Order: sequence, then C-alpha cells, then structure tokens
Amino acid sequence: MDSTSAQDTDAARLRADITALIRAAQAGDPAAFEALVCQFDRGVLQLARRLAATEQDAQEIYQETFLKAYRALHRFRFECAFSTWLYRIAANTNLDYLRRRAVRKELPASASGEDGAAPFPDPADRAPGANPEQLLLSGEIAARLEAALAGLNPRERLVFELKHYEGMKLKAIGDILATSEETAKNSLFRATRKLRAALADLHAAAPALAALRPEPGTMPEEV
Amino acid sequence: MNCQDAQALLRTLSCGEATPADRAALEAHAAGCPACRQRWQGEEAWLALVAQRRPAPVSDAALAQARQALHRALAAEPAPAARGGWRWPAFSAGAVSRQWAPRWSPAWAALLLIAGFGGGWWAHHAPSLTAGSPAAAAQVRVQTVEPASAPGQVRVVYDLVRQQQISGPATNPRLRHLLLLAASQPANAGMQLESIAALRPAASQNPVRRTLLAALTGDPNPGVRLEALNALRPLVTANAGVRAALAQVVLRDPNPGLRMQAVAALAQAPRADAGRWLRRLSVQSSDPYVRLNCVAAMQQLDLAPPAAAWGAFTAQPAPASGIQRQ
Repeated sequence: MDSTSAQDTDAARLRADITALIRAAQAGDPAAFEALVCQFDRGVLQLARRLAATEQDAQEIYQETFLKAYRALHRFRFECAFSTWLYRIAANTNLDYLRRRAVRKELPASASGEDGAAPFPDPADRAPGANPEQLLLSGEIAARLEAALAGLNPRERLVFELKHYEGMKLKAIGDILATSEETAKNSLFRATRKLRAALADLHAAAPALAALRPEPGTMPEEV
Repeated sequence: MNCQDAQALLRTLSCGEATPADRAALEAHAAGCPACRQRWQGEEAWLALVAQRRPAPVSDAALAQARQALHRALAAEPAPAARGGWRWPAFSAGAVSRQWAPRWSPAWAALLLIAGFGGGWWAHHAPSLTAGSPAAAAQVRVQTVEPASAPGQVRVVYDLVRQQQISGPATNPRLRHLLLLAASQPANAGMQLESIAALRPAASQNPVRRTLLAALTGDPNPGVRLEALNALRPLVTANAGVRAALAQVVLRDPNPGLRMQAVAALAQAPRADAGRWLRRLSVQSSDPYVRLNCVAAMQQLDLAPPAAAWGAFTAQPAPASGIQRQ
C-alpha cells in the first residue's frame, strides 16, 4: 500500500470513528461527546484566544461553544462535515462575544494569557537569525495590527482571522458563516481596506519583513 | 494577460488564495508591466505585514484547563437524548440551579405550592411509623438564630433530616435512583463501590451506563474508576460510547493499572473496532507500556500494528492532557 492510499485509509477510519462517536453522543453518551471534543477543541480554543481579550474569556467562549454543540447535537443530520457544523457554532459564539464587547466598549486585547503564556510569541521565537531591528519592528507591527483588528466590526474581524490566521478557504468561511463565498470575500476586502488605511505608515517597512513571514495555520481535518 | 486580468489575480492574491499557476501568470505579465509589478510588490508586502502577527499555539495546560471546566459543565447538563422527556434532576446544587432555574414558570410555582401544602398536611396526618416502614431517628441542624421582629422573640432556622431505610431489588425505581445518587458521591468511596456493584446487572440501561461512564472518566478514586470499568466491560462489544470512554482512560487516566485494564477491555471489542482503537492508541499514548500492550493485544488479534507504533517505543510523544487525578 503506498503512502497516499494509507493516508486515505486512515482518513476513512477517522471519519468512521467520528461518525460512530457522533451517533453514540446523540444517543446520550457523554463520554462519546467528550471524545469528540478532544478531536476538535484545540482549534476552537485557538480561535477564541485570538479574538478574546483575556484567557478567561477565551475559556468561556470554548465552553459555551461546546455546551451549545452538546445541546444541539441531536439536530446534527450529517448534512455537512461535523467540523464545519462545530466551527459554525464557534464562529457564532465568537461573534456574540465580539458584539457584547463592542457594546461594552472595553479595552483592546490584553497582552498576556492567564496561564502565563503570552497569546502572541516573542518575535525572537519565530525567526532565529533575524536581526534585532527587524525583530523590534516585527513586534511593533504585531501590536499595531492587533489594535487595528480591534477596530473592525465583529464579522469582518472573524473573516479576517479565519482567512489569514486559520488558513481557511473563502468557501469554507462562507459555509461556516452560512453565507456565500462572495459575501465572505467582500467582508475580507472591507476588513483589508480598513486595516490598510489604519496601517498605511507601516507599508514602507513591510517588505523588509517578508523574510519573517510564517506559514499560515491550518484548519482541523474535515470529517 | 492584460492589466485588468492582472488586477483580478492580485485581488485573489490578497485573499491568500492565489495558486502557483496564478503566480506564474502574474510573473509573466509583471515582467513587462512596471505598474502591475509595483502593485504586486505592494500586495506581497501587505501579506508579509499581516503575517507578523502570529498567535502562540494553545498550550497543553490551557487545553487541559478548558477540558476540565467543560467536563464539569457537561456533568450538569441533561443528556441530549433525554431532552423533552423526564429525568432525575442533576445531583449537585449548582447543577440544579443551572438546569432548572431558567425554567420556573407560574405553572411550576403552583404545582410546588400544592406539593408543599400537601406535604404539610401529610406530615400532620400521616400514620405513626411501624416496624418495617421507612423510619428512624430525625436529626436537627440549626442553621441560624436571630432576633425576631417582635421584642423578646427569637427566630431559629433549622434543617430536619429524617433518616429512612429502604430495601428491595436494585430494579426498584426508587432504590435505583438512590444507588445512582450514591455512586456519584465521591465523599464516600466505600458506598460508591457498593452502589456500583449493585447497579452492575443494569449497566446496559441508559441512566446507569451514564453514571458508570461518569465515574470511569471523572471520579477521583481509582478504585471507583476500576469498579466502573469492570461494570462497563460487558458493554464493550455493543457500545461505541463505552469504547470511546475506555480510550480516554488509556490516554488520560493517571493510574497505570487502570490504563492497562482499559487496553485489555478494548481488546475484547469486535475485532474491527478493537483494531481501530488499539491502532490509534498504540501511536497516541504517552505511556510506552500502554503502547506495548496495545501492540501485543493487536498481535493476539492477528492484526498488524502500525509502523509508527514501533518507532514510538523510542520516541516519546507529547504528554496527553486531561483530567488531573491521583
């Protein structure tokens, strides 16, 4: 068996396992649901941490997402991938959070997480060998970008995060937001236009940082 | 390609969705078009700028904390399959308030009033207790003592706890409820063990199975978890949820003996299911002895272990995050 067909077989087995777990969870097995959670929760928490102001808020978004999923699981009819269905719930929970936060007019995202780990790594961690000026500039850009992202409306912010930091395709983002690929693309363009306007003065410095560009994140495996 | 086509491709590029073919086409056009080349450089610079913000990956500690909190919250939730139907209220006080508080309605309030007055009437007119009736001594626990509104009077708030006993087959619904309650009270492990043993013949029934699964994956006492595992063992062949819970035990339980028992139980599943779980666990577990046992179990079932499992005996996978217990 070559490696491609072995991967296909593993993916098919994973799909079968996930399907069995969904059916068991729908029949009322909490352990099956928790096993499902373990398959997808890292991505859900990662997304929440990007959007939430504090680690505690991120943990609450995580919990609310999975409680909603648990309560609605009996309505899941296998009409789309489970990951898409779950991310739809996660996206709506994050949108609700961002809207509540916009109403409260709170401060922008905090600088550190509750568990002591900074939500964003020190620039020195991501590009060994880069010169100190570049690293300093990189850190400043990240902070400016963070502040500019906080100025977007919730939907634009979510689309931008899903596209540029979760590495999702616009089609998948459209599915998650229950809208079309074109609408998702328009939201992304609006977000991009606003961010470019807010960061216009940094454009000149950006080409020098191209060497520091990391690989984008990846979406959990579609099941 | 003209400049208008190039502009469309640049928009695709700024969305992060340009293919290698798109880039090649752009490159060919930009070689002879300084204006488009400049626009292209601008887009690449923008993407480089966006990429300067890269959140740190989720730590195992943060994930474990989130999972534990979720585990507690789920324990207070009604099972999805039971929604719309009647079930015993959740056991913890917090769970009761979360589950029922939003659902109070005038109808419920009226029902409770009737029940309260009826109960009061029954307390005054109930026949005296005789041998063999639910009976025995009452305990009084004073909660507060404070001056009453009228001078010289005092108000005492107290709980009256009346001890009762009931005996009969474990199939009796009231006894069943009490056993489920006792099996879920970590304060008294001995009582939990007795309760689980009494519930064992009914392990395939939904409320009993749910309680046993909760004990297996969440009880702080390893003896109770083992008793729950043994009670659930006969269900391994028929129930996917039990198999998933056993896999959780293999990956997360801090007690090595329990992890081995869980591997042995999983090996009793139908061959295809056992193979699937053992294959995965032989790679994912952070415990080399567990991985070895998984491989041995697979060989006994005449199944080939994954190649990665052999490598895993020398390379230590990342420690599994999960419930922290002793």
